[in-house]
Amino acid sequence: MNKSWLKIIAPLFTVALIAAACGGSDGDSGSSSSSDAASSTETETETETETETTEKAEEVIEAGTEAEGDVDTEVEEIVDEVNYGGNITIGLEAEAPGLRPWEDACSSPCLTMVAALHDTMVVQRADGTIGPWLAKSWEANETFTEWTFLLEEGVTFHNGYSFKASTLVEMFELQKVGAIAAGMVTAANIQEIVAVDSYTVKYVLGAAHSAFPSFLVQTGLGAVFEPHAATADFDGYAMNPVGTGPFMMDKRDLDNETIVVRNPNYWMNDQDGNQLPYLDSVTFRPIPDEGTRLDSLLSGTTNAMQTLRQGTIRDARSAKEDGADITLLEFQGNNVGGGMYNLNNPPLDDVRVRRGLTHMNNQDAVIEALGGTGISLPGTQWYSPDSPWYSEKVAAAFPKYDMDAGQALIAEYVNDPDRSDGRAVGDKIEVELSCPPDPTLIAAIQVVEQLWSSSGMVDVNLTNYDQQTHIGYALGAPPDFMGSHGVHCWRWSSQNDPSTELNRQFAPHTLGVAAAYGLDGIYTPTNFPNYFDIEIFGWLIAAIGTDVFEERYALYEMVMMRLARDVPVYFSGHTATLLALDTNISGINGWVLPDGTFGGQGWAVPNLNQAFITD
Amino acid sequence: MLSKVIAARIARLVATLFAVSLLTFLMVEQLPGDPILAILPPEALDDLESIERIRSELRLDDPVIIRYGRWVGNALQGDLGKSYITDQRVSDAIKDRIPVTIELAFLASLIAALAAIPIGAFSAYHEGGRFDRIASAFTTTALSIPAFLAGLFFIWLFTLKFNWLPSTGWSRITDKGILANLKTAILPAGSLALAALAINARLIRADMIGTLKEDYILSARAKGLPSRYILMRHALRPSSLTAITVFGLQFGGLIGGTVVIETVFALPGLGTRLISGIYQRDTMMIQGITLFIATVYVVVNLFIDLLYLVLDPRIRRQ
Repeated sequence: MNKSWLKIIAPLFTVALIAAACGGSDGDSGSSSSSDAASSTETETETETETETTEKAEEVIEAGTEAEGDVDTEVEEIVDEVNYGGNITIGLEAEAPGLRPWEDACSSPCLTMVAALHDTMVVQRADGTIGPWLAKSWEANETFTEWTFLLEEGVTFHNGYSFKASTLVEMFELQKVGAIAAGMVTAANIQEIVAVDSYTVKYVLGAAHSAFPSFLVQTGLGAVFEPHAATADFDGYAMNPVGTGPFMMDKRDLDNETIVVRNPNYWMNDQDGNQLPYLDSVTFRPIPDEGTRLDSLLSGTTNAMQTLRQGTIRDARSAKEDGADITLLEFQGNNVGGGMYNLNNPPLDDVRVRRGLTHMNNQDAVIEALGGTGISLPGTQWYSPDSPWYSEKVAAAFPKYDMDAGQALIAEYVNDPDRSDGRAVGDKIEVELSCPPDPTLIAAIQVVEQLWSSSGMVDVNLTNYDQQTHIGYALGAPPDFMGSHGVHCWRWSSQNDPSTELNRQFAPHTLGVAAAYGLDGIYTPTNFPNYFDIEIFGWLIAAIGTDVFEERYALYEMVMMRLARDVPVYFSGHTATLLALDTNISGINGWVLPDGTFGGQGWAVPNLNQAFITD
Repeated sequence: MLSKVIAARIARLVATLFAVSLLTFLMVEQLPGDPILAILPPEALDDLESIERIRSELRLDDPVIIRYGRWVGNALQGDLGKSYITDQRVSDAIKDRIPVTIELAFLASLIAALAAIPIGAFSAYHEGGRFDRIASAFTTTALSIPAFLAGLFFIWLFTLKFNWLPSTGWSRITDKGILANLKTAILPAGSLALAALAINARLIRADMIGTLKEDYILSARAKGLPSRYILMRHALRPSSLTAITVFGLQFGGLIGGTVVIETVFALPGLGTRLISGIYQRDTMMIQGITLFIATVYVVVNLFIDLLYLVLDPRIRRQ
């Protein structure tokens, strides 16, 4: 009985906060003390990086397979006999405000619905590589500035229009000005889309990008929508999307349920030639409360649910151990929780303080406070140990929990007569540590506060603001976008190609910084720690000028090594996600691409294209 | 004389709504951060010109007083604006969701009333007895349990343990009929009703204890009338005035109370939309729904005030 009560009480405190936003950090325009400290170790680091590059290139062949302590559900071939028909109801963590791929911000719930209604040009395989979907094949010119895609034929939209190369040209007119897509168009530097013939399309870029197809995996730029419907009723499309996807919109009752029904003209067949999809319909039900969402699955009110919360994953595991008839598909991608130091805010401009505070951050204790022990792996970089981009060298270089080392660095700063915060020698440093007001996040930062305060040299001011305010403080205001935050909870990275995020996040953070480095006009508001390093910027540009994996790997490893040295950001654990299903639902794990390879499961977004009910 | 009193009450209502609208607007205005940053994702902020274009399109560059005046002016004409996040008209969002919220509040009031009457009456009749002590413990407990905690308990009991009722979702009467609708409404309405039930039961008990000491009740007892008849026929009506007053006040409060309970049960009511609006910093939605809830509350109160005037001549004379 007591245990049951705990199950009831625990979710009370986890109502409806979508966790900290994605973002990135880089570069350093910090104070002289910071720069000086950094430069003293720079030569040594670079030498190490160069000598180990060849060795690393061999190691990465082994990467991306199995990590120690890995808790991911492995992809397995579907062995159940497929059935047609039936409906499944999926509990989502929130309602999607809109379903316009080019216009509306999309997180896991929205992505789940958008993916049921729209196909993307290409998809990500389970091994992280890019595979075919609406685009059967593709190739680039030698300079990676022109990408030509051969499209599937015989694909129609839900309203009967045909999908052709010209569709992508028409879509581009909306994408260029779309709230979501425009930023991606800029990031990919797409100048023009040309219909070479009915089923061949060419993307012309303004600069080389060797990983360009990775942009077309993403909903914002890669989801194919019917441009006539979108143009005819721009606002209405948010409620009645028209894609080529396996399901069509049937009913959209906001905050209650969205029902999609089988697209009888769907273009794709399974590996045995059976037309997809198998299910008659899918009902999406937003259930913001984590505990209620899990209870709904356990009681049969829903058939599946998604979560990004470690506490809910723990409860689902516990329910399964207690005999619940559910399948758990766990996934731990590259997204990693932690935070950032605002380099515009002394004493965080000094690398000794950043490294010292990071050393005094006990990751295991923080993960335990988050409820993630045994679920979430500690983070040391943008990439999880399963990722092909993961580097053991970076993992070794990132400051580990070591109170003595941390206190020594903080003491060095505190006793420095030229300390950047202007305080007297010997005075404590003062930092603001802020997280959104989620109970688990608060518990986590309280652990950090205790550790830092116990040094006797750090005054910690804990603050909690709602999600939008939290982001707003980190972002700052136009035109400079220099946030007023101190130490700020945040999440980093994704399953996408490193270039899609790092190139933006590590660009100059103000126009002034850009001008100082001769990069006039190149700046980003999403360089949240206000850290710029011209070498990192150069490495990132070089990494999209080659498609040789080993070369790219070496460059990204250098970037991560620099971050491990300068520590503009710190990490707690990788973000574990879960799809929990009735055991009679199959086809979610082990779905295949048209070329027969396995597709991936990222960010608790189920691919419903091949889902079916086994009995 | 009566018309003056009514005019004064209506003037007070207008003043209250004006204060609510101003406070709501200013409080949302005082939230830190640029509203444009809530509208656009960080990835779209590279282009400063487009930021300023959108700011100008939404007229967010006007002074606060101008924007407030425009919002109030439009609201008086029934136009509460358009969501910055979803592009949906706020009045449409309210229209879509108000049936759910009203039904929940109504059902909760009904449950509170129907359960409170027998509990209050029999507690009074058996004052100090075992039933009274049990009822007192129940009402004390019910008052101390927040509605959302009661909701989670009900989900555990009626969904997980017995699997009698669904934990989430809302069946609209127009889609699936009244029975399916009640199956989805009963748990949230019950959760919402708990505190109101406890208050009403205590009020009825207190009033009825006094009534039961009246001479005409003693006379009825002396005649040998059955206890149930005396309680329901002779004692309940004069003991219900306070409770009826509170019922009315509670209805307005329950509309606001649905905010949390709708989130727990994932119901498509005003509360869910308001919470989403707060998380998304959807200022127009927050302002519009808050003003609407406040309007319902003060109108219900006005109605009760006017009802007093009609029912009680002493108040009219005052």
